[in-house]
Amino acid sequence: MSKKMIVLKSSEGVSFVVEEAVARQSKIISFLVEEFPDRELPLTNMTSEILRKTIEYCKKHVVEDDGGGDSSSSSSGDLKEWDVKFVAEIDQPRLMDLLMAANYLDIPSLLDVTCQKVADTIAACNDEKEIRATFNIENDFTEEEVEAIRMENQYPI
Amino acid sequence: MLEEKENPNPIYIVFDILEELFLRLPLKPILKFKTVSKQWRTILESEMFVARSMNVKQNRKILAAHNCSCGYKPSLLLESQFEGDEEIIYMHFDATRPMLSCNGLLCFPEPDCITVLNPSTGQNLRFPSGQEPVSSRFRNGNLIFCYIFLLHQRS
Repeated sequence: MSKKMIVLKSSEGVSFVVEEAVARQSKIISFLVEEFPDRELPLTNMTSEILRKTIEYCKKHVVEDDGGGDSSSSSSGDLKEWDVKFVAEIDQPRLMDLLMAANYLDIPSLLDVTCQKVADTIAACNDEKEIRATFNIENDFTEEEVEAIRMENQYPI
Repeated sequence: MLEEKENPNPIYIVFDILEELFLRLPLKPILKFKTVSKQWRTILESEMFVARSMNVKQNRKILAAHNCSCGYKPSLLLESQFEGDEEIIYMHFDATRPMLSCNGLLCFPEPDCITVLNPSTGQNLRFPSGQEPVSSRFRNGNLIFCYIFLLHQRS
């Protein structure tokens, strides 16, 4: 039985040909494939780089249900290890893009690993200044407001 | 400030994703997360987030209190200890003083104020107490405490 392929198009117009089972891990793509069969699916808010990464993840995580010998699914321990390595190799801005892609495409497991990695990054920051610098967040508090929050949350000594 | 503005790769995190992220953060250093920005604080203090985070954090916590008459106000020791999935949090307080507990919060009525402590987050709120004599305040203790608990739910 030949595998059904679908075509995903990145924001730069680059086409990626993917097995349907791989792409269907995205609930959005799964839906679109059913609604618009045999059509190229444009993902205009996703760069080729991020789309390639997302597909790489989905290929690793696809569960072959036809019992074929060339199953690419691995044991859950191996997969976990692979996930950790996968997100560790991505730099911060791209990790955020990947997280947004997982959110947009609705791929729960990819969203989970990317969220966990970003959460670990936040938790590893020493103070709020480091968090703001890492994620480029504007400080919209006045000194007084910060002080008030501190008072409310201080550990009593 | 300046260097933050010069960052060439601004990262925008949408509201829903922030909540997902926060659910994966340890609760203890919550103060440093709350003071990042108003948006972060709003999420961290929202009723929805508090409810969701209570469902996520499955680790059982044990509060171990040791009695001390040194006169300092009740406090949590910063170091906690993990034993398997259980986290043991140590508290220092004077066991001769009254203490109330409700839904994981602790309340310590004192002569000049009422302290409410959340052992999970280390959050500690002090409320000034009225001028009634001690006996009547204790009679109202539960009432005050329920009120405080409602406040906590909202914050």
